[in-house]
Amino acid sequence: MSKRLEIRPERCDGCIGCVRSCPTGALEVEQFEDSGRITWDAGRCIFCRRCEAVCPKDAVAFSEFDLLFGPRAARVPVMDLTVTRCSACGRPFALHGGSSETRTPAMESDRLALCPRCRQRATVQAQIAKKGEPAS
Amino acid sequence: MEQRIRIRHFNIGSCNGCDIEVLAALQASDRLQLVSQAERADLLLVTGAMTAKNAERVNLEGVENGLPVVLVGACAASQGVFSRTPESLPSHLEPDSTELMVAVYGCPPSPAAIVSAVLHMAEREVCVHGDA
Amino acid sequence: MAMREIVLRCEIPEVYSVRLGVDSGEVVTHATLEGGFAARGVGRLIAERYREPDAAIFVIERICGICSHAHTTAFCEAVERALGVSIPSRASAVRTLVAELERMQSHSLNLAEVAALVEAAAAEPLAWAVRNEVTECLVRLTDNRIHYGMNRIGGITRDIDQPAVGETLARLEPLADRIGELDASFEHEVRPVLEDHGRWVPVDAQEAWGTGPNGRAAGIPVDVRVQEPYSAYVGHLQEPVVEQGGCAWARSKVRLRELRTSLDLVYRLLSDLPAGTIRIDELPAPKGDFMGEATVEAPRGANRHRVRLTREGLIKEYAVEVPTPRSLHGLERALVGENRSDVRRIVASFDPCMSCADTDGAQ
Repeated sequence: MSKRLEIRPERCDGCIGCVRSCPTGALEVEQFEDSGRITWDAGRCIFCRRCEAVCPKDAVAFSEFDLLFGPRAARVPVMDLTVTRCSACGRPFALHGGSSETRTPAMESDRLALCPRCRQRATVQAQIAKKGEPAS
Repeated sequence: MEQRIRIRHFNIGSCNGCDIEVLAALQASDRLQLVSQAERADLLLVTGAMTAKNAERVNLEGVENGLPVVLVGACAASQGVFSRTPESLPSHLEPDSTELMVAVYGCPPSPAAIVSAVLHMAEREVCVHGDA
Repeated sequence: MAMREIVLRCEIPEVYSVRLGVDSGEVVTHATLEGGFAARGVGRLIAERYREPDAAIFVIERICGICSHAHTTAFCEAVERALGVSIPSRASAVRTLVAELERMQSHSLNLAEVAALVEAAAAEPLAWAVRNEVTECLVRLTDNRIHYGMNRIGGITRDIDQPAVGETLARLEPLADRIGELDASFEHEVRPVLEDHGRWVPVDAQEAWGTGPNGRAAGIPVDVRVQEPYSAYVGHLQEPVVEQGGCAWARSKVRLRELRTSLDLVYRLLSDLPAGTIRIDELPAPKGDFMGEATVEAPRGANRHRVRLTREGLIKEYAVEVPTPRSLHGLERALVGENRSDVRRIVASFDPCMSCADTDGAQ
């Protein structure tokens, strides 16, 4: 049935699995300089509830009230996301959910706050430091 | 006695899901009536996303001519699941303002939602562009 | 005798058009039905953009709004055969009972259209009452009115809980009474108008194959559920519903009787739903030549889906054959010799689905 889509901000961790699973592109993700957001277009939604089924945190919900009619272009923001910046090079490389509860302790560790390229460099350097230079 | 709302229904490429709920809406409300020509209609109703084959034979440009338009379902509003196929085209329906055009959300929307959208649009005062 | 060509006026000309040649007595000399305008390139869309089978289901469901579950059932069975899996028996039973409710929803809607065209004042609202009641059953069981979203590869998406089963079973007996009333009103109001009109008798079983109620109305017992059983039909349906003569009344009578046989099957399946899981969670890699094909009896006849997967289980090729085109030449022949004023009701008696009739296969 046609109901309004909502994302519970206290549960969402910004994995955007919902966006990836949407068959029509009703759910989309936008990324800006310092933030991001998930948007939803009721005019594009087929109310298949795949997003609800796929969400690993039970964050996607459809309200109990019926959605009847409205503007043809009906895209609205449904979840604000924070941009994770690489602690080495400063470039944004991931989005995550807003609240601090959704950030796991592991995300606070130095290695995971690195973008893939810097993480690769840091891993190689750590291996070299442990084992010495490779034989050439 | 309330006047019947005469509706010209354009099915421009629907799977028929919305069309059968429109039929159910016609059955449920005695105020709604289908007519076969836009010139005789009070309101236009559209189901489906415009297909390449229909684009060759159906021209919707200007058809609304100041009439309110009700787009029923995701395909009419936005091409729905078919928005990624080259066979689905924009329907060229103008205007794109809330005053004269609404979309009934769903795939398909319920007959009750369709009836409420039609009644809402029919009761608005609409301005006719140019000379009537 | 002056002959002229006319295009039949109908309320939604964008869907299909009927061109007639009529003589001065308004008798049809030849007829052509033009359709195919709703072609949306589904086959290509699936093979290019929706290659994961569980995502493709959402598009395939929307090939047609009236036989949407029949399409996804055929698709899932085709993929499951390519993967070499059998779904749990509970899932199979639910797929089947939803398919039979869909058949009832489709047939009752068609009977309402036929009744409207015949101006049957009692039969038309009764047909709608049946259709609305069946829709309520589907809502209670699947949470949806039209696209039920019940199928996925390996089984069904949601289970049916015991309260839903109980409430639906309780609705079936009053629904059976309604169907009885509908049948009686059709005999009284519709039969005198349609009997002996719009005759189409296929020459043999091959011509009738896959034409659903249209072939069965001409005395030919073609029915995929009986001849090539699938899902939970094995052992349940014994004989196809068959009428003689192939006229417009016979076709309506087949659909009326099938309301009853479908209701009985829904009752039996709901009363005895197998326990157990509703889907296979871990799907294996494709087997053999990675191809699967499945044919189901949709409300209008045989739906056949063919799929070829990649080694990883993604869709490489996909094609659909839908039932309505098999009846179209018969429909055109059945109009010849009929009065022009009877054309629309004879067309309706074939129950053509013009969105289905437009699906392309993929390469």
